[in-house]
Amino acid sequence: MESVIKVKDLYKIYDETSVEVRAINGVDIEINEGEFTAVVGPSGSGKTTLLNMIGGLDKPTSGNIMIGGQNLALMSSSKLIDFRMHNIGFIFQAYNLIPVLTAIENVEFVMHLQGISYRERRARAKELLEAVGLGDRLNSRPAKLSGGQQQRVAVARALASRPRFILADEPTANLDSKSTENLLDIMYQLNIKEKATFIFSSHDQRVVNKARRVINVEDGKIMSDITK
Amino acid sequence: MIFIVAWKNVWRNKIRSIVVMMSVAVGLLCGIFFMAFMNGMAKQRIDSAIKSEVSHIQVHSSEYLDDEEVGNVIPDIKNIEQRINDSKYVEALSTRIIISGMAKSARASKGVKIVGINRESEQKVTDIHTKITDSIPDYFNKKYPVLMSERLAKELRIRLKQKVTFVFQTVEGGLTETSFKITALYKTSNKVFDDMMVFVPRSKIARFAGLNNNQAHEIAVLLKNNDDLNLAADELKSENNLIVTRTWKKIMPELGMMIDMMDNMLVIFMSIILVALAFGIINTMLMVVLERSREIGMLMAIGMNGKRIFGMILLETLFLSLTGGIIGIIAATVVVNITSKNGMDLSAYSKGLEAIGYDSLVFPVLDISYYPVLILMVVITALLSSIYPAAKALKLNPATAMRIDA
Ligand SMILES: Nc1ncnc2c1ncn2[C@@H]1O[C@H](COP(=O)(O)OP(=O)(O)O)[C@@H](O)[C@H]1O
Ligand SMILES: [Mg+2]
Repeated sequence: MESVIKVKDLYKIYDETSVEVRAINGVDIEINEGEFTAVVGPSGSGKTTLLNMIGGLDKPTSGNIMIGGQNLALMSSSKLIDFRMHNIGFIFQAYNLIPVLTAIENVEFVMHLQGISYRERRARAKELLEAVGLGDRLNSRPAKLSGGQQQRVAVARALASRPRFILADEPTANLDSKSTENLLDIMYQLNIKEKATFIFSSHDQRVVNKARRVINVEDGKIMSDITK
Repeated sequence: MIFIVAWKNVWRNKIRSIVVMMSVAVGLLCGIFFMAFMNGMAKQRIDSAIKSEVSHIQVHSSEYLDDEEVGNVIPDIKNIEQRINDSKYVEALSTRIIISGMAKSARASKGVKIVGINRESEQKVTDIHTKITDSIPDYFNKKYPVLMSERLAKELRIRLKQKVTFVFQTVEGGLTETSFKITALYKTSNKVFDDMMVFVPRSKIARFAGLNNNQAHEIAVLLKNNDDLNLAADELKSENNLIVTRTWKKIMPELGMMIDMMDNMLVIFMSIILVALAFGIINTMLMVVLERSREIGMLMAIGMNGKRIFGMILLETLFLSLTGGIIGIIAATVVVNITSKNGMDLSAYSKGLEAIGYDSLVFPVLDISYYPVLILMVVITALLSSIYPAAKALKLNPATAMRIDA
């Protein structure tokens, strides 16, 4: 297996005027293609900070992040946006979707930014929404969808551009247990069917149980890293 | 797709967007109406100056312009009249004798200009015959008739059919005194004109002044079209520098100044509207960026680059201002059309206006060609104002913007 993400000696230190906060305090990780990995830890342990840095949304204080052999630190911010568009799919805890667009248009949006033709992107968006069980809600606006359905649209959107991997920061934090389970099942199926690499964070034990690899984070450090 | 997103974003906060559109529309409506009003007023003033006072072009002897002496006449009038009449630009001409003198009644006296005209040719050039308020039948076909303004008659405390005596110099240099009977009264919107001008038959006054019928002081020329003013003036110019040909712009430079002043006022007025608009747009778009910072952060995270974010904010502003602008133009067209048909009665304020030669019934007019220019100005102002909020959006950092607890 080829590694897509290589994180070496990563630090993120916030200078809260007097007290410094070591949000990430020396982290090394390697993530391979096809993984279904959970980053687990209590609130404030540094999960979001870690995922944001891997996703190129935030800059480390020190350390290296290599994605597919490319060093994120060496990219200009506009290059980084482009790189994200082509290589990384994002699922956030909330505010994932463009409220004025329908479900299918939301899924199409990144493909549109990539310059993919209407026919092609429409077909793929439809296929993905059917895969996440929303074949009948293609033309619904996000406001008309439940929280779970919105997150499923976000999963479809994240997959649409065929990224190298998908970062999902607490994707189930706002969902009830049934929707949580449903979303994780869908992610798991897509991990196999679409060979999509998933890295998701959570502080919920039930979520963790679904992962094949669990990375435990506490106070910005990796406490354990177990592959089942 | 960004077009669609931007257009739909405009309608996310309907009330706010409508308020902004309406303020653009109302601003534009006020601007256009004010321009049309001022323009109409200026145009009427010029038209009425041309129609009632100066005509398009006037011909005098150069000596007369230096000194309005009875003897400073244009010689060989018939020849010059012939030449003017031959021009293709000329509609009509009126040859006048103008003598400064004194009007006396039994109770008062006043300095006046006695204008000797031929009624038929004067009618073709000026509209003084339409300003007559009271007259006896066939008023100019009497022995010694005079047409004077109501104001002057009032000042001299005389009425229609009463006598007035004119005292003036003759060509020989002596003073002469002759009596005329008021056969008609007129009233124009220009008090200065009304106070000065009395009209008598040219042949009669010529005889009293000692002039022959091939001599006069002034030829007033009406053109077919004011646009030909300079061409016509060039053509009618005499090689003989004893004869001076002047256009109305030369004759009434204060009219040109008035128009310049109105232009300046319009610029100031428009600037105020645009500045107000700019602040409105800055405020609105800053609010938009602030409200949607999470969403903008998400868009940046999934691959929307700075150019596209910037473009989206500018597009939203464009849609907002253009929609408002179009509504404003439509409203302005309707309002200007209605008021230009019926006119706006300013008689409540007209005392002051008439003193400076303006009509109290104003017909706003504005050339259609101004409209796109104005819309463009509004849209450009709006776009410039949205640059700051758009730049603010670019500064957003997706990691911070997306933080749930932030
Ligand atoms: N912008 C910031 N400024 C200062 N401290 C921050 C900032 N962002 C996060 N932190 C701190 O970094 C630590 C890790 O936060 P975070 O990565 O959000 O943890 P998690 O996602 O596991 O809850 C926390 O102590 C948090 O208070
Ligand atoms: Mg977090």
